[in-house]
Amino acid sequence: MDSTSSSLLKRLRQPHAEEAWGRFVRLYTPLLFHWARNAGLRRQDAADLVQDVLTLLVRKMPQFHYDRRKSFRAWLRTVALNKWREQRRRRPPAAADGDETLGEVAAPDEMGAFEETEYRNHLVRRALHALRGEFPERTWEAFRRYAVDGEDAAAVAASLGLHVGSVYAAKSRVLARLRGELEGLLD
Amino acid sequence: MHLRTPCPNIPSLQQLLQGQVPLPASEPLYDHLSACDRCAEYARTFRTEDMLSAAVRGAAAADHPEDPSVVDLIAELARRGPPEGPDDIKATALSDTIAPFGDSDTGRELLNFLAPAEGPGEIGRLGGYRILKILGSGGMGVVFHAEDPALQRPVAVKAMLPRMAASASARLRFLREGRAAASLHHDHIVPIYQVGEDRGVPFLAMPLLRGESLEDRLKREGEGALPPAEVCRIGREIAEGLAAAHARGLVHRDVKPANVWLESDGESVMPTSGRVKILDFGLARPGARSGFRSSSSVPSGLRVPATTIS
Repeated sequence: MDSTSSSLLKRLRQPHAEEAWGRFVRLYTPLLFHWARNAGLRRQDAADLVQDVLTLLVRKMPQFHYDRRKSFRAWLRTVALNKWREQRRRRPPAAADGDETLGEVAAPDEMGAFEETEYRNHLVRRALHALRGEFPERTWEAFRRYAVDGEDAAAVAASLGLHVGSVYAAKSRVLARLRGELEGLLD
Repeated sequence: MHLRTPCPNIPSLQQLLQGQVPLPASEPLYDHLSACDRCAEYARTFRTEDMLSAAVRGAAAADHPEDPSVVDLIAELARRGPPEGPDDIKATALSDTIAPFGDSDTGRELLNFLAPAEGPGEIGRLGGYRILKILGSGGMGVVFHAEDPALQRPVAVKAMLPRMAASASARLRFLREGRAAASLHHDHIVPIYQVGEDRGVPFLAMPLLRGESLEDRLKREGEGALPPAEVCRIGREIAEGLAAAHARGLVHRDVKPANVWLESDGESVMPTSGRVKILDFGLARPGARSGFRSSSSVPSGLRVPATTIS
């Protein structure tokens, strides 16, 4: 199955998944890094956490796939939280360090990153960056202005010299691509 | 001259607008939409309320340039490449499975066409079934103990070895076996759940039967030690099964104790009398001339005209 038609989750389970790993890293690093920083970790520890979480997810991917009731988002959250706790035990927050606030022991206050809406927005934002190059310029332009910026479809069509149906088609094409790529990750 | 296709129906159009119609089916629909006033008008009033559209709208917010340390981190992680894995799934099951087959190359040949394992306890996947262990192997193929993950039901999966499957006629024969058996519905013939091909590997799925073959039973009890009533019963059940096949124009051609299964039901330790289930229509031909052949010989002189069946 070629890479453009198989979901990222499926590609990550194949051998020699360098391309899929790269995409996985691009999609999830910002979310995890910013969360880890907001949860009180130093830069290096946050970077280590990102690597540990992503590595563990890929390693355990077959078991995750097997247990279809699980939500990827929930799993990600659990793994991230466990890694955060490990970091905390290894290096308790220093009171004198101006960079840190004295964090929670059980969990950081800042779990919003894993909440459904915020998580999906983030993931889709990163995926749109990654997938942009797959579309002709005009299609992307129509999609961005109509579906992201919320411009009126007829206005977009007029300024791009397209039938208004093309604008709806552009949105639909990008949505279809997003669905395929992010299958299993959005739940 | 612009060729117009008819408008898709409303549900299809809705699915299309939400990006739920995959390529290549969607391509002509996009072409249509890009030129159709009626469909465009519908799209104008249609509110896509699925979570993906909402996330796309939400994606616009807070789209700022990325923190340089994140950019560096991404580059570094990508450069390092994926971790090796998946760990701890294959190791135990594989060595246990290959060992009985001695020569590890043979063992590996039997396994390396399987799709990767996806969960604990599996040695691989085939046709969507979870492959758990090898039950046996013969000239043309291998039989696995497997599980249907959706129904969580144990099954036996018989697969053709890839080097055999390279021959189109061999593949056809294998699939023909499945179809022949699948067309028969009788108490004394093992049912077939599915006939298919996975990545070029033909396979059959059938119930995993409890009990033993007649061959094993004879070995266990000694030929001549079976009570006459039992011999009659087994013989009668075999004949009934074969009669059902003959009524459909199918001749088994390889009836031997190894292909006669005695099914035990329930949890009894030693089956006293098992119901006959005839296995392995591997040599079945529609309307063949020959009858039984001896269990020890390989069919050589028995040839029937090739027939094409759909």
